[in-house]
Amino acid sequence: MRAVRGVIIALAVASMTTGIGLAILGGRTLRWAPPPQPPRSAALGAGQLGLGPRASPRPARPGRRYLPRPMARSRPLALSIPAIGVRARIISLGLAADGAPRVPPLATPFVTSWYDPGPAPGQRGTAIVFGHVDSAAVGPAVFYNLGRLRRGDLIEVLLADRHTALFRVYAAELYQKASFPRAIYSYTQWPTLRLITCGGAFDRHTRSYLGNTVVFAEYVGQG
Amino acid sequence: MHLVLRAVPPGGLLMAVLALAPPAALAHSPPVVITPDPAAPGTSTTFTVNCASLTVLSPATSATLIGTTLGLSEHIPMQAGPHSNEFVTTVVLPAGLQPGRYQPDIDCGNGLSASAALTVNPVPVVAPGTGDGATATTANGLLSGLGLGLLGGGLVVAAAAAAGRRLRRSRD
Repeated sequence: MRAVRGVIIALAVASMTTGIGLAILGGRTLRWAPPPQPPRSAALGAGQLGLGPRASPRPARPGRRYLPRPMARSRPLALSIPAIGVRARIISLGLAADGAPRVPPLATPFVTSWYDPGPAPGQRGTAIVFGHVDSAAVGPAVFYNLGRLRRGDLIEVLLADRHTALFRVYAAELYQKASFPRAIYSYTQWPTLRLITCGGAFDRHTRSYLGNTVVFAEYVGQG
Repeated sequence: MHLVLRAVPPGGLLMAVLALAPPAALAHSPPVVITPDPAAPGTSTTFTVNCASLTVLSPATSATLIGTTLGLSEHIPMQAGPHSNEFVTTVVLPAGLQPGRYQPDIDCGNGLSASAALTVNPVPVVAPGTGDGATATTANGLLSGLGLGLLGGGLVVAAAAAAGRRLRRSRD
């Protein structure tokens, strides 16, 4: 009887010890992995930012016809990025009073925003779409996997005139917010699209990411 | 009308057109194409002008963009384009250029002057804030919960064992 009681007490002590260890470990590890970051090999030089490539004559998708001609201005409604499983609604937003671009509220972390003072997707120039990387409500948000995009991945934008603008990724880069190049917002002569979200290390004091992930895509055509 | 035109030699046709055309049409400004338009501060922008004119018969051999209104140098020489009388230049708009409508002049070498019309859109001046750090800061609650469960269970068993021992001692 004494032996059984000893075993029970030993098991209880082992359970408590393991429990304390797991509780400490759980407090020190993250529920989700930090947002993926683009590889440095995909980086563009700052001098190249304002130019962007011309669309390749290669068909984006065999069997589908896309007219490689810049489009008329039309409000974007939805975004699709098959490589990372993103299908998202797009709302139109402008500038905040402090000069920062307005973005969707964190309560709607799967909605993206088009910077509507600038060109629309498919127009000559640079169309910009913002999206959240994460939100306390859901964890990973709409652009959480933006850093996984690679050269050649496709992005489709549905416009209000029911046309679809197709883009092909040509670069992805992580920039520090403190030295975020304004050239990111400058226009290209050929239509291009830039997807922007937060990334890099997170500063717990300022409750802000220290960087931004930017994906650069060239216009392929309209379908 | 067609018969009359055919009867006039080519040089005479031009003179007839000049005589019949209203003065406003003769004094037209050479066409300017800007790409992209609208543009944004910091954007590489191309100006293309065609200096051909009905009133000035001599071809232009040069053209100059007057860049002061855009915050650029005053005289920006343009390069000859692929077509006769066509001139092209590409400039980078200053990063601090204010949004608005700009009308820089272009002077053609044959005496004509053109006025371009360029819209500069506002752009953000800071990076966006797009995330609250949930994935970078949220602790692994599942692991912590499992650990606390094991700790609680161990405490209950240990307390029960201690209570049983006390009970048996009191019976003895």
